[in-house]
Amino acid sequence: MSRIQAIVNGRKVEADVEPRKLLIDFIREDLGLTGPHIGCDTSNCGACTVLYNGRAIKSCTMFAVQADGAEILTIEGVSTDGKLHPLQQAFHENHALQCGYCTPGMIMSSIDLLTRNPNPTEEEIRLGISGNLCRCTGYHNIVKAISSVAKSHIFVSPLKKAKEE
Amino acid sequence: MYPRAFRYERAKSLDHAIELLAKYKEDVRPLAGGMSLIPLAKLRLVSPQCIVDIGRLEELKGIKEQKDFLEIGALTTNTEILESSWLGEKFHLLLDTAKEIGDVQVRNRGTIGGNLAQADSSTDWPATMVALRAKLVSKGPRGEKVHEIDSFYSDQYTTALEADELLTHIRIPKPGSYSAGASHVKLERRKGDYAIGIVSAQLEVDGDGKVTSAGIGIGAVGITAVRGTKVEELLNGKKVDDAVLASVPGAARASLEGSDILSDIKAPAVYRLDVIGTLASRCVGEAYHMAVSRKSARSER
Ligand SMILES: Cc1cc2nc3c(=O)[nH]c(=O)nc-3n(C[C@H](O)[C@H](O)[C@H](O)COP(=O)(O)OP(=O)(O)OC[C@H]3O[C@@H](n4cnc5c(N)ncnc54)[C@H](O)[C@@H]3O)c2cc1C
Ligand code: FES
Ligand code: FES
Repeated sequence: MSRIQAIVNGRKVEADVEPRKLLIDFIREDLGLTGPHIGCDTSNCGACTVLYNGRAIKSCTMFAVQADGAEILTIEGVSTDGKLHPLQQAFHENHALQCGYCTPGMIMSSIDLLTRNPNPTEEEIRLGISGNLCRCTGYHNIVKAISSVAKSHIFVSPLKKAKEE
Repeated sequence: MYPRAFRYERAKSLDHAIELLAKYKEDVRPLAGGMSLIPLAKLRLVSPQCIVDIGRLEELKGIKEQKDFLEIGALTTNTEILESSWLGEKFHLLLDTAKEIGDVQVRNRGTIGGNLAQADSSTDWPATMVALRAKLVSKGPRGEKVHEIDSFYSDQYTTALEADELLTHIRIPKPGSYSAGASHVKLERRKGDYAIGIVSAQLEVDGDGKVTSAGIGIGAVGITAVRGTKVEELLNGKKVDDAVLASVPGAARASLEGSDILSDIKAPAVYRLDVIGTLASRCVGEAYHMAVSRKSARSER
């Protein structure tokens, strides 16, 4: 067992983990945050995407021990005081989800994209979410939702928020 | 899916990492970005007894311009390279290549050194390093070694590194007086799939538009990345017009003679050999176009 510490959604957590424990399982099972999903478990679908020190990563392809000392943001940490994040609101308004399984991962990748590139072209949006698969294939509305947030300049990075708390 | 249980050691410095690797030499793997090692360990295709996490070694991160070469730390991520837009002036091929790697999540974690050490000819960096005539620096208990890219790979998943040696830096010679033109072209079925063919090119031209130096790397066809020797010979000293471009596919295939060719569910050998010719002429055409337009931009200044 290895002792790890991390800041998850602004909250300090500490736990003993077996070295082979995957970060996604630590997040879902040990922390009870079931927003990030396991789709493929082979680093292809992006359903498990979380932000690790501010950058989108696939948490099924990282060991929890590697995250010792890191800051992690999951979909649960994206809204503020019960108010949806602009990206969440835009997914809702644009019907950017059908079954919703890919949505948490899609939103985390979109945060990475808009943080680095606030005015992406449609192609840049499509490339930005190319690590996320939507099995319901509703890509068109997903792209529309992300683009609506970019165009109305209402994106705020939830990263700063986690830091201030 | 869980890997087999392993012992986890976190390296505190490069020397510490080498000590740990030497100690568990019989069955050990360094862990960089984990984008190849972790999927393989989860599939239990590799099951090391010990994993040495080198992910925090600051001394192996970053890009520095030295006098005669560019030095990239092995742990520099694809995203860090892609976001170093200043590289575009002299080392455009690095940006072209980093952009092509998987998706944003993979680029955020995956390192250039891990990619090269994985020795998978279907990935993007080996072909690019052949085109750039890179030197790979390694360190182990017996000291530092400098490897030429052309002798670094001996087989699929096999490099010149011993189990207790780490790739530490990649050195890329600076292009000559004129800015080089570059292009990285690959065929894959969908974004993030294993490539079916990769061609990477770096061309330098003189004031008349004649090629003074050509570097061509071919990936995803041979079991290792292969130098497009015949293409380089074809281009050297010439202006690249339509007639020259028409000879590129044949030269690319001739460069692969004597290499073992990959053949699998993604594409049989005949298809790979066929398509690589087209990719090669497209790649050379783009690189030449960039070299020539940069040259004229320069002479106008
Ligand atoms: C979904 C997906 C899509 C991908 N698409 C592409 C693509 O389009 N193009 C592409 O090029 N690649 C692609 N990759 C592979 C990716 O680039 C990997 O990151 C890369 O192959 C390995 O780099 P890493 O840092 O993750 O290394 P790791 O997985 O940590 O290590 C890989 C191997 O190298 C060894 N190693 C690592 N660092 C060193 C070192 N410094 N010295 C000695 N040995 C070392 C490890 O022990 C291991 O055996 C993809 C991967 C995934 C998961
Ligand atoms: S579950 Fe992690 S990428 Fe699919
Ligand atoms: S909405 Fe069902 S997987 Fe995307």
